[in-house]
Amino acid sequence: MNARSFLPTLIVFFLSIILPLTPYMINGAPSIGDSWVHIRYAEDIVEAGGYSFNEYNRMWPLINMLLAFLRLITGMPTIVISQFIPGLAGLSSLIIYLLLFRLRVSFASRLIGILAFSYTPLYTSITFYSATMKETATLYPLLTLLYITAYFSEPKRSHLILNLMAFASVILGHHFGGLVALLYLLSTALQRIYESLAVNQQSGSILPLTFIYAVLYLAWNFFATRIIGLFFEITIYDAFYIVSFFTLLLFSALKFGNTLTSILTPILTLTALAGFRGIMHESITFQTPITVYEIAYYLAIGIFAAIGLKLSKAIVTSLNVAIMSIYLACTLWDVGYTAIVLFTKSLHYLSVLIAIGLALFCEKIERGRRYLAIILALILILESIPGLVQALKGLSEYSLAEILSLSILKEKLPRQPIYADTRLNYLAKYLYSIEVGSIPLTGRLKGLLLLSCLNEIQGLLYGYERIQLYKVLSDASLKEAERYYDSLKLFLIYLR
Amino acid sequence: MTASIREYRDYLTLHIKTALRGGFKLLGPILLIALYVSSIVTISTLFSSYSSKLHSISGLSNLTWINVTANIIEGGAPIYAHPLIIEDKAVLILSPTNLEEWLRNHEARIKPVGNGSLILGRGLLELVKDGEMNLNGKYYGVGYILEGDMSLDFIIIVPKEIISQLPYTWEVYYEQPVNTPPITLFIEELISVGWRVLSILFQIVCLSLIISLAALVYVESVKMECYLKLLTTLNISRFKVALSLIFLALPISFTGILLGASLGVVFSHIFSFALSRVYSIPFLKPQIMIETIKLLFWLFLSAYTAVALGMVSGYAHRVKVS
Repeated sequence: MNARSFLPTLIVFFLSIILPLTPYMINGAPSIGDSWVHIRYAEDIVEAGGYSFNEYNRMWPLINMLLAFLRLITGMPTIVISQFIPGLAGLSSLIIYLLLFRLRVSFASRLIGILAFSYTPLYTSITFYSATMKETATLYPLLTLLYITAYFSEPKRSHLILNLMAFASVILGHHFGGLVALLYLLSTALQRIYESLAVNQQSGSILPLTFIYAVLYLAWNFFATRIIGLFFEITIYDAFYIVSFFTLLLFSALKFGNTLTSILTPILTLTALAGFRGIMHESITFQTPITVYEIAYYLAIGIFAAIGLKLSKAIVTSLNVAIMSIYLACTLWDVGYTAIVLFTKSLHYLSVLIAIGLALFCEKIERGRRYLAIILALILILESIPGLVQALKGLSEYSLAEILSLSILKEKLPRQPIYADTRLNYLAKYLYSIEVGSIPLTGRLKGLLLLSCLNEIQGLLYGYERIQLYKVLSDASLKEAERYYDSLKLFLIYLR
Repeated sequence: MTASIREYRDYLTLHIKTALRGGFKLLGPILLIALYVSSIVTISTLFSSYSSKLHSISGLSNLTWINVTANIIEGGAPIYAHPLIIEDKAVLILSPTNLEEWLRNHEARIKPVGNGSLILGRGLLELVKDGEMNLNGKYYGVGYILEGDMSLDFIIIVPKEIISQLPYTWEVYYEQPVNTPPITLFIEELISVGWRVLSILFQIVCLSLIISLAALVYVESVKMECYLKLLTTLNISRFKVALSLIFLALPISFTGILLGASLGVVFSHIFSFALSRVYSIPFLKPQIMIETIKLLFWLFLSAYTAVALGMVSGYAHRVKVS
């Protein structure tokens, strides 16, 4: 790297790493309710000096262990330490850079790829990158696994150790991320076998590696579900459903090249995202209806990424098959609540494909019109910023004022049951060990109700769904209620 | 024997390599198998999923024009349902969250008969002993009789508190009065004859699959002239070539079946989604039942027989000509 390219690289990496940290820097608190769970567990580990695998968020221990380890080393408050996870997600752009480097993409296009990964058009990804949760902590090991299995799979002892370390991180990180890795490895192995038969290429050690990973992944997740009970109802049909999409996409990739998968991936993703934003996402977070301008923007990104992915190599095709199988299965899984959860989760991994697609697209047109390609890509990426800003206003964000208000309220709490929505429930339960029940949706609401001013604007969060406050509590009841505590940001009301 | 197995494995690899490098075509037979299998899997998964849930849906909606859906309806109260057989009677246990609304929708009313909390349809009165009814080994007091259309005669309405005591898998539905006739009766009719139609269809598909596949593979094998000449120059006996072609039929039919089943699963899902949107019936996630797996096994055997027969007879024809 010469002096001329050093500054742009530094700026781009800085922008990528800083973006997941913006919710904390703006609001002064971690993003997503899950953050409080892991902060609590990390503190428990430090205090108890041990670990117990006994519930859902403890069965994939990577994040809890990582936070506890950093807490012990640095001695900093766990809330501050928790920002290491979004920082790690930002640092994932480094792996994207290396992947694009190996794909022989030019320097400028590599930087565009990194920006497209961080400032992704899949604006829901910002809540994913900036959260302190299992999925976010698994992103970096997952991308590392993809990279090293693609480029370090020769039968050498050092490579085997490297691969096993990556496998362990992903398997102990998160089951969904682990599934993406499993499908990617299967897809790569089957492609290599096909190539070894069709053009006499060596398949390397990818097949034994895939076998080792599959055994470890299935064994760990079987153990986890046996210990904590089935947290999610999955039938044989559901497993076969994902296998069906995987088979069809892999067959199409092997027999007809990556045309279908590359075209399908971004266009389907972004059009579905438009629909998601317009219909389903309305009920989850505070979103405005989709505009024609946004649909055109999504289509443009989709088409450019499709052109880029069409030019891609085997590693991208495997990634495409794996991510797209999960995405299609999750999108068409069902209708209703489960579908929304799964669809949101499957979207998280698509930003990798979109980033690679856009970088390859820039590489394609850069040769003739270098500056035009860069300007075009930059405009597209910058257009995603309003979406990101909107995602930052969602019900998943917390503020320092809420934390401080709750710490004062904790000392004054009356001995009566308190109700709150999922968002405040997580904060109160895990940060201050205050027992808070869910607001009952049927019957007349009575007792103490903990509300944030965000609830008045955006409604209440129930699991992943949003319910307007007036549907639970009328304006008249809210005005008549006795205000037990009011810090302008957070208030506790008594309903008779 | 071991050496012989290794030999055949090498022949099989050689066949596959040659096919993948364009020596002869396998895509046609694979796609043909996939086409047949996908149609069978689509129909059978749709039938099995609709027929397993039909009792609940039709029990809820065949009285008035009511749209019954598994999707959350704004303002709609959830209804928990579980079909059951009690003393040879097909009974539907319901627990509407809003009983008044449910009675209004179904043009029904309740008449007090006892002190319990169960509401019983008229057809179930003979199951009541000393004012109580046995549900899953426990006795519950009967409080009311459900009066209305005949379709309500075999319905038991239980209060919310009892739901958690009964170890059933509750299906959740929502009701909404609509101005269009319900489609469920039509589907009920269709499903009652459906299994018979499916069985005949399956036999036709198996037969036509065997004939068309054997013919297609025969034609493809006859075209394998260059490759078979190569095998002859390698001094491989005719018997070994024929046997290795029989082995080759295994991966071909397996790939075809896997591809067809995958297509079938995806198609059945899309059809179910389309049906729910067009006819306002609940979206039922199709499930692969044991019947479909049995069908897949028979289809695999049919495809394998056809491919093996077609290949060997094609090879025999080529040998005869040369």
